[in-house]
Amino acid sequence: MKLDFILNGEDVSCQAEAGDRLAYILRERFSLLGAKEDCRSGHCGLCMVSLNGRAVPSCLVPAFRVRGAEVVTIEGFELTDDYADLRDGFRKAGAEPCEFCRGAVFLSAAALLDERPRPEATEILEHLSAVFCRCHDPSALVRGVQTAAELRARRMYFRANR
Amino acid sequence: MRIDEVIVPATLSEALSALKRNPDAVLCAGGTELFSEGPAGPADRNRTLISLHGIQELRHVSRTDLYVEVGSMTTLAELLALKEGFVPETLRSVVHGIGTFAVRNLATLGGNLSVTDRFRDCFPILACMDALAEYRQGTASRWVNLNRLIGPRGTPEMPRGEILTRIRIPLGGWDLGIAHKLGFPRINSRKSSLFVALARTDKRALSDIRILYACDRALRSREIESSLAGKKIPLLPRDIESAVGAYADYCSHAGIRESSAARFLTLVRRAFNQLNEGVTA
Repeated sequence: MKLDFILNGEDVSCQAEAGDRLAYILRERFSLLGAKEDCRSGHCGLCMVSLNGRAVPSCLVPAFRVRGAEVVTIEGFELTDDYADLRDGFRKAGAEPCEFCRGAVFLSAAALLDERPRPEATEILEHLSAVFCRCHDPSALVRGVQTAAELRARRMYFRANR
Repeated sequence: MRIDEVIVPATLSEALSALKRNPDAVLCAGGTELFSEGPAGPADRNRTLISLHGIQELRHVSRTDLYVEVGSMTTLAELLALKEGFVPETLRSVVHGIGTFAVRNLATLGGNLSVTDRFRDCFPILACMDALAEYRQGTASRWVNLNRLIGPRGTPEMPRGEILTRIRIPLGGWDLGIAHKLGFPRINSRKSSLFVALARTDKRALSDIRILYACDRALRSREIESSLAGKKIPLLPRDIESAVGAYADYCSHAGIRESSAARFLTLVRRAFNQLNEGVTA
């Protein structure tokens, strides 16, 4: 089947089998390797992408659901201010995630900050438990997200008052 | 699963006519169950798949004083995003225990209730609450109590050739609401079980109690529940022991594994103790 959708802000199209998973399409058809295909059941979270503005495990998204949708991978998210806040926040807190889980951690954290601009530690841990990577201790991740939340709030404030 | 053709209807009437044309088609809600089967899946033959994800009218949520009505394509994340108290708290805690937040963005309530191999997490709690499910076929519709979807051997008997459109959840206040998941908490394991106990009290007596344990099948004994109704609370130790004994007999008649029965009886005992503690408090 032919798939037309928006990928990282660009209109794209490709051929895929109806049952292909989005993670597979991103990696094989578009060489976007930020989404890692691991458990294929959605619980490791390493293939996280944003689908129509919601963070989802791309291994559970079949090709036919992508038609006409908007998909953002870590490669597209890297170009945004929200990503810069997270990168700087995690760096300041000494909690930079490893290259393997970076995309999933940042996309999960961004989804949380969209919902709750000042999240509690328990909410952060709950959200980041969606990513099965243990390269940091949980308190470092909490500090990272909270620092990023501060940077983001400051940026929003300056933008609103410019 | 090998997919031959995918139909993505935009409205419910389109979905109903597609199902009429393809009565053997597989209905797909959020897709988390179908696509977490692993690379092989049940690849016995090519199947036509009708994906309901684009039908907005199946995402409607409304509430009256007596019940909440949830469209079957409402995602679990949308259910959790409803303001506190909109849906019963015990149901909320069950939904919160399903998958990760990202999986809940895809998974739907209707999908969770329609899995045919084993009852998934929302089923036991909603069955205990006497929730109703609306099924549509052609121009006809019918409401079914979820308890009627439990077959004689305790296994799921989901209607075929019909589309689950709405779930009506009664809002009766429960004095005790326990939902305890056994298994890995965030993983959509086909081996997890769910224990649910709901109880109402009136004038320091147990007026209604419902206990359901869903492992590889659903275990619920209305006889034991009726025998407990009317007992004074706190329940006396001998009442608890006799009820636990009755459940032990029930388990041995049902022929479930000893380990599952032992877990069930421990949870039953704990539920009675929690009920007593609640009353004493």
